[in-house]
Amino acid sequence: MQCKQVHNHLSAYLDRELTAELASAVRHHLAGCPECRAMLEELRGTADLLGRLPVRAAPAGLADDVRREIERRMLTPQAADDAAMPERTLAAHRVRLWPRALAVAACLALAAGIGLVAYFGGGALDEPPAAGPGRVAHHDALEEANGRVAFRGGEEVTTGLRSHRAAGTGEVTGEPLAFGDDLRVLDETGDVAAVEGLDLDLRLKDAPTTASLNDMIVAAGDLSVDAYSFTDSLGRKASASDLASLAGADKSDYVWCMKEADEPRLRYGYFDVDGSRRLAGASVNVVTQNGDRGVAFDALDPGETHLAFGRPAQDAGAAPAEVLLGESMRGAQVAGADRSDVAGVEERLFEKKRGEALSTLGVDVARVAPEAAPSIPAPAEPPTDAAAEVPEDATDFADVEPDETAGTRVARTAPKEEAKAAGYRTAKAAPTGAPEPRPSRMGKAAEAARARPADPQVVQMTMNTVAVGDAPLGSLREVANDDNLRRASNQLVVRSPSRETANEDLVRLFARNGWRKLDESAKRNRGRRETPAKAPAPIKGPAPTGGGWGVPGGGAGGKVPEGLYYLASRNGEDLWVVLTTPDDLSRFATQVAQSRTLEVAEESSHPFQAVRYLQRQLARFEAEARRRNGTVDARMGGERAGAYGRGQTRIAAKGGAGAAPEAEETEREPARGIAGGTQVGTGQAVNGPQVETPPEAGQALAEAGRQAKKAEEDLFKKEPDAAQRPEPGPEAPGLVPQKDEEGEAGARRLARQEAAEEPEAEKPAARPAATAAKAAQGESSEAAAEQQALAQTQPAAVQQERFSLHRIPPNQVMLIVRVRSADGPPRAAEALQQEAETAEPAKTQEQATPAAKE
Amino acid sequence: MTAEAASNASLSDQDLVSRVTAGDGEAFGTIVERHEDRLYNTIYRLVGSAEDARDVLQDVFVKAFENLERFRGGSSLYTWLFRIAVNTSLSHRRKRRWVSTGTASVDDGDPPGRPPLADPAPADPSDGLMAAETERLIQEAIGSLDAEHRTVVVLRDIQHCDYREIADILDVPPGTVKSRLHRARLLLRERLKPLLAG
Repeated sequence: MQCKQVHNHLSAYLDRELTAELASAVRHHLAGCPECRAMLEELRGTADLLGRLPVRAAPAGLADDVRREIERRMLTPQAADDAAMPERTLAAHRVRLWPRALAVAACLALAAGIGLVAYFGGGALDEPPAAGPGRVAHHDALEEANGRVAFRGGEEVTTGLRSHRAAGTGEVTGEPLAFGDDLRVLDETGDVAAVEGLDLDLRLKDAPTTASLNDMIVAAGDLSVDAYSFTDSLGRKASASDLASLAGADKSDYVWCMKEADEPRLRYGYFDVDGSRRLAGASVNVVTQNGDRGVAFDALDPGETHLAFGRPAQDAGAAPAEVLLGESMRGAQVAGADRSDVAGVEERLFEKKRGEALSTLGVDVARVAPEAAPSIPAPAEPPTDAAAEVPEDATDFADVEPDETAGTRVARTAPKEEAKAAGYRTAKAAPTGAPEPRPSRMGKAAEAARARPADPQVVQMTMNTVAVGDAPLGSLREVANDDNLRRASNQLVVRSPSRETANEDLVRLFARNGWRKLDESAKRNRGRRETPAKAPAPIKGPAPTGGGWGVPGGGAGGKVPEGLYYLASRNGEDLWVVLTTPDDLSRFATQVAQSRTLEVAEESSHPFQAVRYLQRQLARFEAEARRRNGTVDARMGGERAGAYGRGQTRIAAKGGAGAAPEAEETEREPARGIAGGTQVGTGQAVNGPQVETPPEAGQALAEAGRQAKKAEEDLFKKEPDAAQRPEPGPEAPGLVPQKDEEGEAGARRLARQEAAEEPEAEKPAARPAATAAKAAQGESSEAAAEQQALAQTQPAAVQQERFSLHRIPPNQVMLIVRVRSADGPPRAAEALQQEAETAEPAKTQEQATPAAKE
Repeated sequence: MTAEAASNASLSDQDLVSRVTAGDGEAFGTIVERHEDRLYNTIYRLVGSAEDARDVLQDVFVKAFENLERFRGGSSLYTWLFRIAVNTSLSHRRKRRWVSTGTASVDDGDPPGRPPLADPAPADPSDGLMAAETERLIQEAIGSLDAEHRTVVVLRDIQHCDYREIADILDVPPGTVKSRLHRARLLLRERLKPLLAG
């Protein structure tokens, strides 16, 4: 046994808590190692110092005081509440905390119908609950909720060994929650693995106020105000929603938070989300008021995400930056690092790899130019050397309980070499002899996802928005640089068995939304207007509405290009940049959720985690329906959809009865109403008239839509009236059409008004889908339907439209879509792109596919 | 002590719980008296102030009483009480918004009551000053730890709980206790170096 291993056992050795075998090994080592003996003595001395502290006895008369207090409370129950409400200001304080995070989370929960996970590990918290109208409820209210927990429906509540399933929205009264009980809210299938967000109400005892999602998040936020840790007291597990809220927090929120905490500097904190309930992809990049930067890490233990804080280099002269990591930080992939600031940290992190060493490690955070960042050297270290390179005072986790030992996320999702290719030094493999990653309690789908071939470039994101409306935009290729990619909060990562298929499907979806391909050459000229070489061909397929921007066919209904897309492949990765409105973005997300070939990956930005969840739900519904009937049964899908929509999300979906006449439709896209009804972001149903909205669902839908809208406005700082503002003219920043037509801005406005006035079911975006569905009737295969949709939307034709751009249009945001696949040469997308650019307007998918394969 | 209280004193915790839930309030008094000292000492070290420790301890017992019927005997009453105590202490401390730079103080005015059980009565006044100063330094060092490390080191090195007990109280795996404790001691070792050297 080597010194570094022995060090990690010394405390337990001292306490006689080692196994006989291990203790013997340590003893043997100590006999010949004065250094380790010295350390042992220091630890012993430390423990002895504490052990010699005088024992304090309870003050006299305590029992009497307790009795009096109990009597007082029994006689006047209200007294307890009154006594428990000393911190009015805290409530207000919470409300101010992270408004954006709240909005985003609320948006997700309401609009996406996420199932949720609320996990209060350990024991009930004891911060005073708020009660009564208008007060901010607190998750601690659980303790006072007398076991009554209100759910939005569909979830299963497990309290200790008991569980209750909520049949629908409303209050569930089960066996009272025991003090100290865990509360876990499972999704409909009992799978908590990939549950994101939170949609749980705590109904306060004898109070009409229902704690909302926001309250929960705010309550979670309160944890962060704690100067010591982001875990709750005792380091108990924060819920996934805690992570979600942080992920949505921005720098200013955090700075504010830190100020409130009166903490000169946050030194350490981490989220400890139960192993199977980690919020995938959540990360956070924060800066404290004194310049410390926080970076979230996904730790080795799948249940832990750590925040490490360091100080940028400019401050390092005065005080060396210090990075403190959690003890169980045992090597990790940097999840959301701003490389320019944390490269040095990262470097040392992976050198050291083990938390113990890092805890006292002084790190000068190197400020590395973004351009240089990807070239961070990654020494080739065979995994077998990992154990030998453990820092001396690192914790040896070989004997840690299986629950605590699992492969790093990197190790599971990407081989080391591949992660290195992404510019990261990956964590070393688990030390020799360490247990294999334990079988996760995650759902099968998550397991399957993990089992997929490794991602060549696992790069996650921080939660900064890369670009919003009216931001200058030089080149989308520049936008898609490493730095921005890490910052982008609108990053959708899709997986597909085939790169080619994925790209084709994406283009099809882009086209379905009426998005147009951006002209790179024009863009490079930064605003120089160009005249198209030839008049673009009219768009075939469903007649779009509106006109403007010189889109050919505008007079005949050329669709206003609310979105532009561009393939910005880099380093062999297929990467699409889309500029579009938040509404369209939401619609697109819904479409992706419905896609059978594009699977939303967990690396996606937080907002898309809801989509991912939704997608998995859809897959489950399908699988269940197949299992029951041998095929997808429409009624089944409809019923489930209805139940889901009404119960969990309160968002329009096809009810069971309503679905029956549409068996064919539903068969083609089972449970489509779910996705349609739970359109992320807007909560608008987009599937056209076939979506029947129950009155109560409609109200909920409208409410969800309003909230989501607000959330988006907050998120993207979109001016509320952005949609009504005149579009910038050719001289103004913004989209520069190649073909100017008088009155095009007015036409566009008109088109928007028309779109706004249309019944929801008649919205243009719904039309292609509805038409496609109609056309697909009689078609037995889904492939035929999709083919039809492709033919109608004509991506190839869309490619004929060229727009230049030097600023992001005022009302648009940027989406980055990254394609991950196990196969395909890097040039797959480029080939597709080339093919699309040269394609004949009527080119079909069948024609494009072989070309892309070449 | 009443005869009833005296008879209660010989009962096990579980029996006392049963009596309390059956309506015997005196039995709860026995529970309080049985556990108050150990709990108080732990709480004191976690919150760092006698006044706060008293408030917290009272709160702990009130909570325990109110929730006693939910105590299912899955763990020992002692463990259950400690869990409540630790939660309440840390929550209390969090409310106080202590900062980790060390505002913990000892000897900030013990309320009238029994003297510390094991507080050595130094013969030499200068020894007494040294002892108080040493305690203050140690308490500050403990207070500078974050919650999870502070808790585990108090439970182990002050309350002498074994790893399994600590794991039960904190509801974490023993491996976590081991690593947290080791780290806590390493941190304390650094912060108490002057004392160790002495």
